[in-house]
Amino acid sequence: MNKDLHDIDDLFRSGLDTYEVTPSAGVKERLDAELDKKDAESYKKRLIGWKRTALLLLLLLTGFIIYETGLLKIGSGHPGKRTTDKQMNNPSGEKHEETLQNNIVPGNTNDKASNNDASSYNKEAIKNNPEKEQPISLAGVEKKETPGIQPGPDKDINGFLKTIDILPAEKMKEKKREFFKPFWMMTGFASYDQAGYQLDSDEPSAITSIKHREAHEPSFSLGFLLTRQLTDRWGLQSGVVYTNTTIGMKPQKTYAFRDPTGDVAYKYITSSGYAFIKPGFGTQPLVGDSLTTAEAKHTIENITVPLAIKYTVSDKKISVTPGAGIEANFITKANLEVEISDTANSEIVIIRKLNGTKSFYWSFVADAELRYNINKKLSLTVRPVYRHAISPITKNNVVETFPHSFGLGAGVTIKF
Amino acid sequence: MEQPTKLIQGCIAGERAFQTKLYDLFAPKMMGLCLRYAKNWEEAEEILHEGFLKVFTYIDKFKGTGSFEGWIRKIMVNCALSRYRNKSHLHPVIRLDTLGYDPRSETNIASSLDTKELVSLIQSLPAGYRIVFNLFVFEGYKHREIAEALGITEGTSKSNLSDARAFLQKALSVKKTLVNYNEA
Repeated sequence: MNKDLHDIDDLFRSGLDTYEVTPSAGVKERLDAELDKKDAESYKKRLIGWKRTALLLLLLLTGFIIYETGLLKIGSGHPGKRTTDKQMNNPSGEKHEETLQNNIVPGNTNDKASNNDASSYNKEAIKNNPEKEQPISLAGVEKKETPGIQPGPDKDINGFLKTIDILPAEKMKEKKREFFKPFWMMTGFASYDQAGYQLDSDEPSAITSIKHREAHEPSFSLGFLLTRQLTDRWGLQSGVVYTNTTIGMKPQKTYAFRDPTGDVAYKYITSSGYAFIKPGFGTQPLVGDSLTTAEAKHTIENITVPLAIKYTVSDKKISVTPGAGIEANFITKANLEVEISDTANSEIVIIRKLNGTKSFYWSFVADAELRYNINKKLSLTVRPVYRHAISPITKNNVVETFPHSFGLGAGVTIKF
Repeated sequence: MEQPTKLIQGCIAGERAFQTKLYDLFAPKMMGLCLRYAKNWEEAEEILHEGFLKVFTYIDKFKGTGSFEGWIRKIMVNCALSRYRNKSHLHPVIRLDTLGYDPRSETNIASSLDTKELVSLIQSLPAGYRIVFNLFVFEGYKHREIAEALGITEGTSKSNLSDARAFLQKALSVKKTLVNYNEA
């Protein structure tokens, strides 16, 4: 019998081991179509990467421009540079730069000594080079209103005004900004969030399947935001925010796979990662076995640190502060609570840490704080906010997940 | 066979011309393999399509240490196996006593059959038998390795192989009877 059996093995082996047959042309056509699709997706992914980089650079550039143009002057002693428009018209190309530190009256208008310093600097400059147009400090321009500042002996104030292109209205605004004293604000808030996600995958069926069985439940966030108001308009904001997102999962069929430790367990896949479930009852599953789970709950918790640029428009009682920036998100918890049962047993399995979930991701944030000032120090704040991940929260999962959320928060802001 | 290094590098770069050349070079051989694992021509083409898609996607992972053809072959086999990793397909589904089979009564008549008929015979096997027979006879897997790959026990693997052989012997016997009848 053994000989017959080996004969039949040899017979098939020798007959078919080198067997070749040309597949139909349709296979190559479908393959080309798939490869084209993959190329397009790969191009799209590269483009997304560039878009994210561009966004980050744009934010950095905005900050840099604001800083360099002198819109942000951190404190009265900040050595931010200011150049008059006259310099642009200087045919000799000579630079007439002056620092705000040296030539502009500090925040305190009654600081006589400082005013005298500024005034004497201008006098010196004019004496030394009477033919040349001198860089003019705003302190000098405001001479008539500011005691202690005298125009130089060779030129009167009108002469000075001719040398600069700043209009009186702009000049006043500029002065007001220079007298602005930076301050801090702290906002404590709680927010109701409606979360969602954008899924990317090479397998469209995986996206459909996950979207079908998962539904976001109302989520919330809590935190405090610290704002440094650098000018009357511009500010920088950071803080710490805790976010809790809950996703309800419909009953689903899971299949047994070999887990990384070599054991066979049921693989439960979510949009944030996957877990291997080993029931405490029944026999050890074999690869390919299936198990239908009941409804489940998936919770993700983040600690977020934002960095945003804020722009404030205000009157006495109300101020609106839109802003945009980036957030560093630390996923502190991604757990799964699922009920499994067979005919005789039932068990609730809690997975504390999902596989395939990153511990960190970046997101973009845009918000608008609406503040009602109760008094000079205290205000009530309403804050709609939108955030969208710019890097996925998953790795080695069937889908790449980019969470987003729209939240409406309320809180209290203290100025100090 | 010499490693088609240029072809591999072209495919890694995503050059469609190189991908076509690679496909043309290996597709007939791999289609022969897929036909043995599949139950029909259409399924074999699906496996082939899926396999080549993986080959082109992961070709940069080929380290060049072994045979490139062997690497492609392994991908094709894995694609075929992934279709049958559901345990229910792999359990014995027929009983020998229902076949009325006695291997001692058989002689080797398969030599009179062409390759298409041999493929057809393998395709007529139940999935569990077909996969185990292919892995044991053509890929040289041991029962322990088959059990590991399919998530079944070694006993099931042995039983499936034995039943597959018996099934093929029986089918050959029927073929022989038909051939003799036609010749008479």
